[in-house]
Amino acid sequence: MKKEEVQEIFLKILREEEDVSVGVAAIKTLLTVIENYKVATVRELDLNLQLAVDAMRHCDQPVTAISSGCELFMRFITFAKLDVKSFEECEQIMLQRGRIFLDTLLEARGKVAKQSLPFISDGCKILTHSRSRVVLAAMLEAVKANKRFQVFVTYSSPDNSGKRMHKELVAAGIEATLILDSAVGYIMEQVDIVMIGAEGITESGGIINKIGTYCLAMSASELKRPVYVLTESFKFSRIYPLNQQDIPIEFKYLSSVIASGGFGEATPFSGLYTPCIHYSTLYRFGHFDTFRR
Amino acid sequence: MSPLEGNLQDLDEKSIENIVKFVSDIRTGKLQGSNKIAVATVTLLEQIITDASNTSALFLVNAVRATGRRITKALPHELIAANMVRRVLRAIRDEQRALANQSSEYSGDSLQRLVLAAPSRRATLPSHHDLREPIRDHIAELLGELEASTSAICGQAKEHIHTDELILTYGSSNLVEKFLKASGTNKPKLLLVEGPQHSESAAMATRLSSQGVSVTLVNGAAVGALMPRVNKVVIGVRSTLAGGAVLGEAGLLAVTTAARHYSVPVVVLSPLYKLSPLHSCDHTHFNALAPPYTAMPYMSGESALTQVYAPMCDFVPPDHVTLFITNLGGSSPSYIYRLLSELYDPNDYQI
Repeated sequence: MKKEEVQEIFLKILREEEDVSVGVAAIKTLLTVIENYKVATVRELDLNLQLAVDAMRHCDQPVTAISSGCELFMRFITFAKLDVKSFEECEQIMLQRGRIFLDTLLEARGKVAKQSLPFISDGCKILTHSRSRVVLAAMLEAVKANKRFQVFVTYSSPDNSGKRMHKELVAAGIEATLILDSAVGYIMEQVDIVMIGAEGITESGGIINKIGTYCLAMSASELKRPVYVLTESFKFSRIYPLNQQDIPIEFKYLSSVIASGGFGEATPFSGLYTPCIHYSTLYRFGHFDTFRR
Repeated sequence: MSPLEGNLQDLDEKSIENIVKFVSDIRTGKLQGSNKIAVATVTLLEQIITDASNTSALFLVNAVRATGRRITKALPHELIAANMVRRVLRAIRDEQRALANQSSEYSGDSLQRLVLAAPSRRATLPSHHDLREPIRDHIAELLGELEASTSAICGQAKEHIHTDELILTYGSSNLVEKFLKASGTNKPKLLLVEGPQHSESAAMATRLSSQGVSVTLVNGAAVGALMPRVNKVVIGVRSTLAGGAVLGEAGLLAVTTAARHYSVPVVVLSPLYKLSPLHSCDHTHFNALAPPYTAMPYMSGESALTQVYAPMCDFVPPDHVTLFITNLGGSSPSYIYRLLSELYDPNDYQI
């Protein structure tokens, strides 16, 4: 098995399925690896999967969701106790579990969107940052429920992903306004709630998200606006960063930037939203349950 | 059994009659007090389960849920009745799972269960099993819990109220009264802040002082001035919400805000039956208005010229609360979600 082959599979899934998140694509890739590369022992399979995970981390995609998704996959599908006779049986069980796992993850976004429905009240103004599929799904769900609301979307430099979010919201008939990243503080007094997605949740209860989220959350906290974070549960990561500097470099920069050695000056892609902000209203709409913090 | 899926089968006439009687008892004030309402709801549900023509779990769940919907529609502010419906629904589901040999600890999915137990999530049951007997046991247990909850909370009074402490409470609450009496030899000094029902607060002050507690009745406007001297604020509430927020008597927010400003711990007495899985975003529950005479008597001249609003409840955010005392012990607001998932099935959060 070659690194390039795995990367090819992974990027193909991302290309073909617009709506799939990076974490889910990573899990799909791992399943394909089990299916396509026949091996004879569990050890070999394990090495193969590790190689695949490593390959995907160097694909120029945000690593946070890839790493948490893959860790969950490894933890629950391959580390599970298997008391069966032959390796083939074992492989079949793994594949079956993997598919169940994947199916549940695919349902997650819809569930989060449904659960967040009561939080979007009629006539409210929502501020969101960058583009998040789950926030978009929640807003589309709210439109379906005949709720009227207004959305402010930040441009979210450097990749201006907010523009795309804005376009999609307008296409769905939602009243949406693009604002500058630097206008977050200005607009905050007008909005009722802040609703954002996340790339990863840290063990301390903070979130890792697109750069600018921390600033947005601080400003929301200052003006006492509730911040709601919508996230699927496969995004829970086993990391415990103490401050911005403590987040692993590969989480903050794309792999190409790290390879060029230029991350000293470059703007990080993701920043940590430290957990000290707005505890009281920082909910997780997990895809199964709603937890506070 | 998704909560919003289609219409539920309708109840038979006798059950409907029972529900109507229950609702009118609450509306006319024959049935008062949260504990009594909780007990009455459970008794009503027990009756409906006993009378059910079919004893399959699905039928019983639907019947109980239909009852719950009728009650919540008629009495949207009685969150406790809805909580009891959820508890009974949970009991039925547990029984069903026990029959199907599934883990009884199941409440919602976790990541681990998602992989290991996913295929057996929805087991069909042989319909000839009579579930009523085990459910009745559950209900008896629930009634026992309701009965014991006040004494369980009061039993913790000595841990929280110490000798010569200055305790502040707001409005009149039976539970707070019993809690303070239960502190016994610790003899706290009490500042009782008048709630919207002045006469009830005064009556509570009289009862307490006749029991030997030193009580000072003060006006709501004095809270800010007195708060720096207070050691602890102890309050009873109408309902505890999902995020650890609290729904209390109107005017409570001013008290907790003052307490927070002076960093005075706020202890909330909340039996488990007051725990509601509702979120604080559902404002329909918080905007209920009480009869305005509490704010301005009908006899006053001004009332002819003005429009008076007297809100029924105040919403207190979770960061104003230091500790919840439930019949299971003390827990912080951030732990409430865990209690909720122990008490109710996530499928029943919306009835």
